[in-house]
Amino acid sequence: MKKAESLYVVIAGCGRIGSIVATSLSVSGSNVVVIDMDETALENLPEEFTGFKINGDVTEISVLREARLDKADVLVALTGDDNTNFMVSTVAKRVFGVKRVIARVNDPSNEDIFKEFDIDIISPTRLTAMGILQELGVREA
Amino acid sequence: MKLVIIGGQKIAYYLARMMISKGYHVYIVNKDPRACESLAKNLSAVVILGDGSKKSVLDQLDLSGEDLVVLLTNTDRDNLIISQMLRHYYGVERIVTLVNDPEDIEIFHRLGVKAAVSPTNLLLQTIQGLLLVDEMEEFSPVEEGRLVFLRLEIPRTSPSAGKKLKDIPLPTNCVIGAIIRNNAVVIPRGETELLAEDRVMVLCEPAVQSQVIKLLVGE
Repeated sequence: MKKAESLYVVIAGCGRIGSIVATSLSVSGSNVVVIDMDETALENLPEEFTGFKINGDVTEISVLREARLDKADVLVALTGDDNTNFMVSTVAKRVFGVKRVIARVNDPSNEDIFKEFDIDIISPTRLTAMGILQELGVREA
Repeated sequence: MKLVIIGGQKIAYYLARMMISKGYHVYIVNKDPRACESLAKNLSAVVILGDGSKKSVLDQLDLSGEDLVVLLTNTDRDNLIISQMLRHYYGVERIVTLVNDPEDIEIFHRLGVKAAVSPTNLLLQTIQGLLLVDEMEEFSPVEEGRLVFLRLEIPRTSPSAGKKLKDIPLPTNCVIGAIIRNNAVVIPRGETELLAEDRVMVLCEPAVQSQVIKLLVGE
């Protein structure tokens, strides 16, 4: 894997999480493209973000082509909808040949199907639950 | 074997009705309570209220590799994740999916769903076919639009009238299957001559349809 500074990263979804990830990667020197259907979400990215913004539906293949997904080192799917994240992740893997795909998976019962496609998963649900348990000094069941 | 229909409103109803009348055991999954109510009232099918893209809902169907599932939700992302859950969790291979964005057909094919049907594409091809020429008597996309069936009348002015088939420079991904001449069917060979007023039945790939029409009908 290349160093973080020279990575080309496509981020699907510019909500609160997407915006933080996009800005931090951009500041650290990566080439970042952020895609979101909501134009105001893109406008609200801070000034430090120097990457590209695409206003469009991440499940549309033409939008992903516009983002030059075929050239991406990493795709990160961060929308609030698991089915959207699954589609953009599998398309990145199987159609565009992106090596590393990371997806946000909200419903833990969806984790298995993402794993079947060799997609790295981040579960906000699990992370939050674990954080709370850790605070309380209780182990996860 | 059971037939499962996930999502869809009108199409789900009509499809279920036809399949029930053919004797199939039909299961319907829909996340709209109203739709479920009306489907359950009007059809002798098992109707399950729930989101078909959730494993807990699919588990209720007790699926096996024998079953056939039709996906009719109105977003491709839902149809896609359901299709993959069906394949990976239950070994269902017979999946027919509606594709909303025609560009997504390719994605479904790559992910192992061969029967991906795009109504937009079918309509588009039919419209284009009807706009092409007056001599076009029938134009139907087949195999989810990977092939088109054409029935053409050969006009007197056709550049191919009076020629043997083997001498007409038709593209290779095209075949003339039959000629109707004075109400009789002629199965054509290379030596068969094409005559004005013949009706020809052609199967070809959509990519060459305009070229084929130009050769057989003229400009």
